[in-house]
Amino acid sequence: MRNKKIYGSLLLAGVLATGLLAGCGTSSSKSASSQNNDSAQTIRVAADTTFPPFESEKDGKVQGFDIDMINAIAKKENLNIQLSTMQFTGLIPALQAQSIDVAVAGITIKKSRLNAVDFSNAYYKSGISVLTKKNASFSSVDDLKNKLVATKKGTSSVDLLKSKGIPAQNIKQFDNINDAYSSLVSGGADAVVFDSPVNQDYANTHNDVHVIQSIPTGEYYGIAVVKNHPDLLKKLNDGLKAIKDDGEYAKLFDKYFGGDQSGVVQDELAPDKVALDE
Amino acid sequence: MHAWNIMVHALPQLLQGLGRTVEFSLIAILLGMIFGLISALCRLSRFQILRGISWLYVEVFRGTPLLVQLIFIAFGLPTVIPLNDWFGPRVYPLIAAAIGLALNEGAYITEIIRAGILSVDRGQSEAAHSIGMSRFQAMRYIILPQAFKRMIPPLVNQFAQTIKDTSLLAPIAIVELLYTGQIIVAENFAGFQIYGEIALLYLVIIFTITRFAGYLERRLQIDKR
Repeated sequence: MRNKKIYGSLLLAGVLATGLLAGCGTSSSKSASSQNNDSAQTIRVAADTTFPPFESEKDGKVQGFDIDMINAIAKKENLNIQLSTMQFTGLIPALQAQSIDVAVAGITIKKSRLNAVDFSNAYYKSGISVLTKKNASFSSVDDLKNKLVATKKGTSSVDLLKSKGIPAQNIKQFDNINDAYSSLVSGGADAVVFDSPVNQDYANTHNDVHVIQSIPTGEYYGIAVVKNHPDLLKKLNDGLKAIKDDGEYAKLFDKYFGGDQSGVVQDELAPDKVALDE
Repeated sequence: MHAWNIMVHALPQLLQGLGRTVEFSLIAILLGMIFGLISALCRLSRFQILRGISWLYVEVFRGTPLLVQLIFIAFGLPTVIPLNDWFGPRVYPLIAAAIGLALNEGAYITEIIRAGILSVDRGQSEAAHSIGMSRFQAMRYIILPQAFKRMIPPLVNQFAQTIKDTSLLAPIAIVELLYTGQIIVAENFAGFQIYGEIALLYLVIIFTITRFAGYLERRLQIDKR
């Protein structure tokens, strides 16, 4: 009797679960980009706010290079922005599920990501750098073979570290880059390997650490967009071109990088031309 | 068929993560039982100071989210105490994870054990004292055996909860099952398949445990037939 009850309830649970999953699979979320009314079109933009100076949160307000840029583009193209924040690893899955339309988070354009989402033209040329404590004794990424390296989960920095022959168990991947920095400061890791602008920003604001090496990786950031929405993609590219043309784009570099121009992408660089082979 | 390939391909890596999940579950259950037993006995002791300490422990660990406790122990404490230097940066995160989980489980187990002991009829301990048993003997031979039987269902529940709780180790960079899955999804973006596979793996483990508990219960309930 008892057994029958158990199996019965298990069966019920199974049926419920499959029903739920099937429901998820077929429920089509109404994508904003499919509505075309005369008023401003609303797009749902997601960002990961643990990526200064591209995006961070100050006094409850999301801000940063990416946020200003997407707002400027939206203004040019008559779009309304509905901003939400989520963890970096959730951004591309959310685009796939069409629960958001656009993601800005300093996302490196990669071949593997291009299979899942579309990208705008490149808007920032990035690299990866190595950040250590000032009293550390190593000078380059090659000294990190048997050391503990902290970085952010599922980012291109992880791929770089693996390609440099650093074993997976020596790579500490955090959900949030701030935890990686705090791990470096509290002795939980010997170095942080991450996107150079973010590392530089951290080094500028904390005096016990410094960047020991920059590794040009030929990485470009793009705005990630839901697949198969050519009109939206075109609008973003047009807007991006417009702000590059009228100088707003250049102003962002003054505001967020103290005028450092190393990341500027002045030409229109199509994502498939600059995608990393990963 | 393509989805199936992804799942099969990811399985070996996920099973490694599952191994970690099981390890941490076992450590947390074992330590949690020890913490819980000590703390429950403190809770029922004659000394007010012991009762107070145990009460505070239970309230703090039941009154805050486990994820906050874990993050505090793993990322918060090392910023003021050089724990990474004492234990080594490779070892400390593991210790933080195990201790954090165990302390949390211990708080819940304290309450389960306390309730179990209190549920044994007072007449039982009176009878034990009247035939000349000491407090300790009465506890050991009369009360605990009866209390233990009643504790099994909630304890098993708590063990299953512990296994599920280990998924909260992913945010503190412990490479358990969920973390392993997140890494795989970051590469292939097959969230539906991989996360679904993870859920199934958890289900298999927890179902096994609850079945075993059912068997144990039936074995111990012989007198109840």
